[in-house]
Amino acid sequence: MTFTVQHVSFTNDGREIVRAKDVAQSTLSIGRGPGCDVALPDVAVPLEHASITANSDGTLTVASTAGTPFMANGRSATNLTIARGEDAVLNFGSHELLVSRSGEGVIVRVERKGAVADSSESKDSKYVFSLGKTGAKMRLPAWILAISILLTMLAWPIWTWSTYHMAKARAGSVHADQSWSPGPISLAHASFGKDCQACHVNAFESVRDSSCIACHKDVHDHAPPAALRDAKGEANPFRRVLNATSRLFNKPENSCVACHIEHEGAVPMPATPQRFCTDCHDGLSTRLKTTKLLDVGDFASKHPEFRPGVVVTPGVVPTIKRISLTDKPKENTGLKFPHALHLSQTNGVARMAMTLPGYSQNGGRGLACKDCHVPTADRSSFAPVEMEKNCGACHSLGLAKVGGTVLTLRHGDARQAVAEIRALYSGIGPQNPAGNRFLQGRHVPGSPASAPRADVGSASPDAAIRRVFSQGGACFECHQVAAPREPGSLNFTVAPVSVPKHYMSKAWFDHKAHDTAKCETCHNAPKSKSATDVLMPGIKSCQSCHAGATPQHDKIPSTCAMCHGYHFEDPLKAVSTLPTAAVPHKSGSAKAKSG
Amino acid sequence: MATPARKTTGKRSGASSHVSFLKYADYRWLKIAVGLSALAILTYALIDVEPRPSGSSWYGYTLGTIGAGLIVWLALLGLRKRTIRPGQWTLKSWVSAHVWLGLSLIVIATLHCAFQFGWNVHTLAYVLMMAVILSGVYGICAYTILPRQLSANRGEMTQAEMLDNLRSIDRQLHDAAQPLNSDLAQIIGASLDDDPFAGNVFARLRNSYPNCPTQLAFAEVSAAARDRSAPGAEDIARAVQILSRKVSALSHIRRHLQIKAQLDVWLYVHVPLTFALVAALFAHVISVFFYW
Repeated sequence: MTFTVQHVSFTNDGREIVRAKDVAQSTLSIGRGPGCDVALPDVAVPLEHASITANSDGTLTVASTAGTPFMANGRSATNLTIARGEDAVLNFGSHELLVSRSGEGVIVRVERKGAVADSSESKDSKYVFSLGKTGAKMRLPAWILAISILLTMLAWPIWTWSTYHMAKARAGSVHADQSWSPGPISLAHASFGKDCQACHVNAFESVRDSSCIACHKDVHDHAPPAALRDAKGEANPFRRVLNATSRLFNKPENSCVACHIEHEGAVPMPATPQRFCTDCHDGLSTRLKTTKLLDVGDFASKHPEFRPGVVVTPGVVPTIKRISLTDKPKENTGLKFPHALHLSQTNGVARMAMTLPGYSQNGGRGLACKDCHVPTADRSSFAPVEMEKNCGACHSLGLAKVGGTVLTLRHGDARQAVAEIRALYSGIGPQNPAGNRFLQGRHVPGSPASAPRADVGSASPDAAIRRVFSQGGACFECHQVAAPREPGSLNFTVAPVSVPKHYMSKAWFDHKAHDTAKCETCHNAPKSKSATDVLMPGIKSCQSCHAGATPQHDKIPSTCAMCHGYHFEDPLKAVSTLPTAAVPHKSGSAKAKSG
Repeated sequence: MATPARKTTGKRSGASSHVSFLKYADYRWLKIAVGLSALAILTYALIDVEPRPSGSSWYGYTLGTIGAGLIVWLALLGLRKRTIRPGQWTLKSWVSAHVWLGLSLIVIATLHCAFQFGWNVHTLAYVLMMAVILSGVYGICAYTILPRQLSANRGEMTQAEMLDNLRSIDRQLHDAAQPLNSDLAQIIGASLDDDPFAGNVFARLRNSYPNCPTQLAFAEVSAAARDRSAPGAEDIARAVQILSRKVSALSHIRRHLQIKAQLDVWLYVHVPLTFALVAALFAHVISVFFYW
């Protein structure tokens, strides 16, 4: 039997080289050992691995020498019989032996299938040394991330917008466009919640005034458009660039949102920046020649002295003039009310207050401001002073005692008071009016007991009426009373009382925000001896605590919007006035100080 | 005959001697970046934006435009580095500008948003930008420190030479293993079959290859070599000697892989995050003008 052993190798260009040798023996040894008939230079192969024996019946037996298995036709085996005429593929380590027949002989074709070592295999050095070899990817995660962000942060919100475009409201739940919100909206607009489209209606269009006016229906314009335009004057080059840029991006000038800036946090809406006011009002007179307004800039340095609305003539339509405090204005409210007299801690008023239950709580110091000026429920302002409630405890209009009840003159209606006196004398009154304790008059507080105040302690009703309206009388005490023109007439006229609710017609003032200060810190009432004094504090008083827009040490930065409003209704239109008439006169509200 | 003076362009003369991308052109881009940042900080401090500084003021939009322009330009480095071309704008100048202007974005973008953050697309873009910059800062450190180590480790060898060296050792090892008994031959076979580049990213970064077949083979075959009287002791000794060379070669290759991994790993964060950033930036800008 002859085995032909063919060692096959390949050149670099793939050409096959066959080195054959014939082994004329019946058994062919296979192994790594150099003495083997088929020597396989393969570390995975034992020195003597197997043998192929040619049997007399023409079959071949492949048997493992030391029991180490080999691969026979794809299966692990230690023994294999190859039938006559059949071929077989044997694998030892990296080597493949193809056993085939050639006539009576057996050809064993030996070919190395695996590389000598892993490193011998073809490797691109640039690739194997790079991190790409480890499976790290750069482009795949890059695209996944980019596309995910575009889908969730752009496409989805736009889809949400298109779904609800022009819808009246959106359902609750989550809307993708909320991921666009640059910050919480102000408390004033918190009710819109997740409905971005309540304000943002059209794509690539800034919030239009129509969105605001949908709710803010009563907001009126600040000034005629032409005046506004003239007041602004020529924009500086920088502003012109900004305006042009705004127009380019579809953001109109002078829109609501230009002043009212949203998404600045879940707090009250921030005050409109000062420049929106001072752009026009600083140097206004140079641009708007017809204006009666004074030029105003920063509160710290460019604000004129306050000009409170002072009643110069009381009446149904009182004459109110805005007079600068620099000019020391005098007011005429129709009342005679010296604050100093009432706030003294030592005079008769004080002593009288001490005896009255309602006023004895002031620590023996007489009257205090709060005894007459009662704060409103929100403590921002004061309720109007009412004669009966705030003055009546001392300034009694008591006329007689009927049974256990004190009969009083009607306040605010002179004609009614006259009628009541006449009624008293004509029947229901005491038989001896002169003996009536009320009609005997009262002591002016602090005056000697021997000098009773002459009220109506008169023998006749005419005399009593005359006394009530004359010096020393109950009406005359507080009111300006005009004597009748005709002698003997009782046609007394009580001047109307006009006390403004607000002195600062173009601003507001919150007393609650200032309740740490005493009243007299700002209002010089204890030293005011005349009702004509205007007790409004001057600008210097405010400036002692309030800086302008620029923060100053120990002062509160104060922009225009702290006191002024762009859409502000003039409160002087709602001044507290008293109807006037010839004689009959309805007296009413007294002074309630407010900014 | 006089040798004509060598003509130098002046502009490119620095290219012959090595200048780091950080120091390029005498820190030109550092100066520009610092100037830009200082200008932004100064204007931020001086310009009184009411009611408070924000990205939606004119100043905010200005910084935003500058920032967005910078981000897009910085991202274009990925394209520029693939284009090999001459000119004054060398790749090194690009990288230098990329690094320094990229760092200045920290100032510009933070002042653009005026320290206002929230759970929204705008802050997403900011966070991604900061992550990209942070990974870039790692890259700067890596490119500053590691090339020297890489060079020291590999001596004068190129990567291809390292691979060829290993191949050569493996061939010798294969031959040396032939006379050895089956046990030793198989142990060496495991070393030969081992792929030195098979480790994952973390193995490369840590340079940690427990159960390395070559190390095991070296230990085992060395142990066998101690019995100098054993049959084939010379063959074993020869195998030990070759194995020790392979251990040394592998250690160089693995250290090289580690340094290269440290040099490259940040790009696998930097580049994907840059894509994410550009997408988020796009969504940010569109959303601002969509709901304007």
